[in-house]
Amino acid sequence: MPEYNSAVLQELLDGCLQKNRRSQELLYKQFYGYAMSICLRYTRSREEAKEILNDGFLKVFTKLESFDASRPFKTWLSRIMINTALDHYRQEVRRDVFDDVEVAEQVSVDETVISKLSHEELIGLIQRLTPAYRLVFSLSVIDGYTHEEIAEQLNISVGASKSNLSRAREKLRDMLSKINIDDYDRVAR
Amino acid sequence: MIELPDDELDKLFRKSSEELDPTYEPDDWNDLRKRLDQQDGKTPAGWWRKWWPAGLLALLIPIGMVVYSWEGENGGKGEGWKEKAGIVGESGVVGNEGTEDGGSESGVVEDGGVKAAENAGVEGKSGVVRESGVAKESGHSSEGSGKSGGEAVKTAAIVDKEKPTVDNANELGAKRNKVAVSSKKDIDSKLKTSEKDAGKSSSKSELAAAGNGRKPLPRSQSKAGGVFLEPNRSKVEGGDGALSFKNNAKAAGGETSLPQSAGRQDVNAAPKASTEMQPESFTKADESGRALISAPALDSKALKWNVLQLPGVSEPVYELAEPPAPPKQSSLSGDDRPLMAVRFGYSPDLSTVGLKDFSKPGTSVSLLVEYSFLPRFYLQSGAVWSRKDYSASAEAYQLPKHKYYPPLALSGIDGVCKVLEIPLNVRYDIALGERSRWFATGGFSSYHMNAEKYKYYYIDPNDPSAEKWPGWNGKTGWYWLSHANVSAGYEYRISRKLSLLAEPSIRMPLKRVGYGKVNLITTGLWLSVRYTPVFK
Repeated sequence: MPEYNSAVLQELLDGCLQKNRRSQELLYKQFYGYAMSICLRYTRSREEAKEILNDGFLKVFTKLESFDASRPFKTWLSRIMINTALDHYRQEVRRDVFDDVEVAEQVSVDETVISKLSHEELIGLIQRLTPAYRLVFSLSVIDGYTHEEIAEQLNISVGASKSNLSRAREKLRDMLSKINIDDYDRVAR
Repeated sequence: MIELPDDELDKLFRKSSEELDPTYEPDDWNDLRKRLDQQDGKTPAGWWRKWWPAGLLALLIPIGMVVYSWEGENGGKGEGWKEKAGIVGESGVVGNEGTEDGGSESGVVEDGGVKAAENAGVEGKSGVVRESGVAKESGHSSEGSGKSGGEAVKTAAIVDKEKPTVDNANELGAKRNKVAVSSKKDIDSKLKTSEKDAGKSSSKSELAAAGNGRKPLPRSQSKAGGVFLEPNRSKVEGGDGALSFKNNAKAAGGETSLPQSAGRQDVNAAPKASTEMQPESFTKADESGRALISAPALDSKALKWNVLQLPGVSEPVYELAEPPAPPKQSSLSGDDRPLMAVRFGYSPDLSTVGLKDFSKPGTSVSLLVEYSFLPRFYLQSGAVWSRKDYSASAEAYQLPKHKYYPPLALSGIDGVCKVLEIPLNVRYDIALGERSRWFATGGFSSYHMNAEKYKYYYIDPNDPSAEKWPGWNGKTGWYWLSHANVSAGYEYRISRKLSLLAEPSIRMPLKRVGYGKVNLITTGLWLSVRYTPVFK
């Protein structure tokens, strides 16, 4: 769905302020893809991502008055989604924190395989990580959080954040390397 | 195979995340909508919490109308019954209840022959017709009162004076008895009616006895109105009302007064005469040993007689006095004061901000219930649906400030709102007339702003904001006790239960309402129909 211009977006936001259900639905549809892509990389499944998505939008609709119109709405929305995912993690997921990091061997991957993988499949690899690795990788690599911020959010040490990121990368390389071209050709046919 | 450094790996997944576009799932929105409805109170439970006063009112109004109309019918039936009894009582043909004389229940019409003659001679005055409809006859008396008074007098005189006339009377009595037997059924049916009216009656047995022993009389064979009339029966009961105590009494005493001459004037005197003559006639009737008309049964029963008008009668006959019409209830007594009323009204809605710049009138429709908690005082509530059109300068509004809204340079705003109003008023009837009254009402109203539309007018018509923000649509919900109501009016009752009202009113703001937070003043002229179920 094409992004609305600013006037239309503000009209939508205005309607959402008045709890107009139609405006809320239009806003939800417009930013569904963006918000869901965020939620997918912080959860292990589509169902879990949907739960976080709706929790996030519920916060959007109830706290819309606090939105600063001088800043992009997308940024505000992504922050809400990430915070919601972190809240979900803190409540339900056991943290796996490793202070001591073993430097893993560099794993070679097939470049051709990588190029054939779809975005969904790559994100699926992230979903297969353990919760701690997944969160640190997403926060750090995709959303640009610093380790200090990650440590504060997850209530871990900076070292643990770095180690989790390192191990997350190892796991992803490992998964990518296991996807050989023969398996891909079989699936593609 | 290559070694994928960290930055390349990060770039790979970063790109995938940015370009990922998950397919929209409508079910995801449906789940969220349910949660939003729950949060906003739009679930059934939320609607109940929000609208239970209106729902309760909508439930009580029809229930109250049904209950009160049902009670009114039952009360009306009782009243009708009473009126009927009153009519019977006032007809002049009322028999006292109870049969105090032991042997007077026979109610037998006397036979003809000697007994009839004797009875006729002695009981000329004994012609007593019970209110219960039993025709009680003496030998001549019924005839005398049934036909012309002159004939009755003559017959009575003959009987009194000469025994040979007994034969004539006997014949008359025999004929009379025949008719009595044949018309026994009619008497029985009317007896039941009169019994019901009188409350008590033992005339049925008397009638039966009368029918068995009574001889038909010539008069009874007359065909007045195509019906064989039973002589000595009151006109009310379908008889010809021939019998007159007074006339018979006079005849017995040699008087020549005519039954008809008694007329209305003697209606009241007749019962006295009948009462006076009864014991003597009863005695003689008993002694005769003959089956008697119900004279014995009429012992101690005061009867009121009205002389009936009979066809072919030379002497003028006065009709029975018409029962007086029941008194018209021009105004309800305190016991009958209705406690509840329902009003349906229409009014043009003139709403302004500051009693100026009136826009085109809107429309208001109301459904109100009134309950009288004190004489002349009514508690009034209900629902008012209205469309309000108003216009005001921008200063009269207090638009909410948005962080992403720059302040708008407006000169004026036009507003159109649909409002549900719940009033709570007290009405006082200032002046009460027979069919009209003046009243005054005061109270408070709560507004529910259902649909609000605002059109913005900018100071600079070329303002770029005019294109982005031409106005605002939405609703802002309840404003409790937001307005004070004052009105005065005139009510005119067009029937027992319906009345028309004209009531100019004004609603003054106590709170600012709506998205624009305006002090909305509303005036109008209510034209209403008021339904008052009459009950006790």
